[in-house]
Amino acid sequence: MAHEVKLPERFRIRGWKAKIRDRERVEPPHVTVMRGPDEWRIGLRNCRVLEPPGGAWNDIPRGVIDALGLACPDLRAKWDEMYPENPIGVPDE
Amino acid sequence: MNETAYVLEKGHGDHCHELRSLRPVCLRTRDAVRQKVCGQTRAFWIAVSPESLFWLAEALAVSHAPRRGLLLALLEVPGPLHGLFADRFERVVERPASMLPLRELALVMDRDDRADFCIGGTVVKEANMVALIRGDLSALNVPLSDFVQRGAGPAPDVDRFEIADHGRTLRFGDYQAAVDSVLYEKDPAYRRRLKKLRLEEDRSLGGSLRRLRLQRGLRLADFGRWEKAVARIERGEVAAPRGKTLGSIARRLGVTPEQILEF
Repeated sequence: MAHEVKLPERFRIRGWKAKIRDRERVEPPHVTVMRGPDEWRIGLRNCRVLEPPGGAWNDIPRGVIDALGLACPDLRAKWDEMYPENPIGVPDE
Repeated sequence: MNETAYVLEKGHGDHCHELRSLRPVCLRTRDAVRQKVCGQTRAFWIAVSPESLFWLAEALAVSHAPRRGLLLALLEVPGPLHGLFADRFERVVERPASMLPLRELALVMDRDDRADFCIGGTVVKEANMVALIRGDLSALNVPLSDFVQRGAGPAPDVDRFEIADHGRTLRFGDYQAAVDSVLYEKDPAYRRRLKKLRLEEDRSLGGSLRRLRLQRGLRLADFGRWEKAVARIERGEVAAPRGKTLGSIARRLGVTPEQILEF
């Protein structure tokens, strides 16, 4: 099952979501943050915003970023469980 | 969006309202449709009611203007009209089994990158595939075998297929697939565009090889006698591998040696 971060209610009702899906583009490990048709891929190795789709941390509300930070260990473990061929432990190229 | 959006709807339904972010022109009568068909050469036409399809066909039949852009029918198109519409529009799409809600559809269609979204799709079990429709109304057919269960995760349930997350996710019950992962594998143009964006990050053969290997879900050990060679290339220790080596690795990946660099 896709792994979805439980975001604070005030962000969920505004359409914010963050998840690792069952079939992701596998490079590098990431969580996808979504709001409406917009999305951001956040690298789980180094917390970079990945290109594409690009954008910046500043596009994402502080409360969502904080929730992602809290969920980070869980997200990293979940990624390794779902994508063992592309584990968090291998550094980005 | 660049084109004018026309919503063809008899009476005073609420489709125009639902699609308002496209700033559509609502055509509610036969005469209104005829007038726009005569005057407009490129537009995005959305047919909502059965009558509106016949109004459109009637107007097209007497018009000799060039092709008129895109037609999205939110209902089944009567058989005899297929040929006419196929001839007079660049792309024609009938309502698929699963489609985005209208408000989400409008938000997607208003974007320059709408082709990177899926707006609808239908599972065709007899052909073991899912027929997807992208935001530019182009088709993308994907074998169901491309959606595989991961570890203890859910298996895709093709009977519960739907488009979700504003066209960014394909859901098969509890199983969720990222649309961009499908596009990356199935659409060379999409892949090249992403590759271009990444070029400054990594132009190496090793980077491409690693991306492709991971995309295929392969471990280094899956390359047998070439395992060490793959690892060395990926680490950048071999800038120009021998042709035979690269050929063998490429065969294992199901591509030509030249195609590795596309990934």
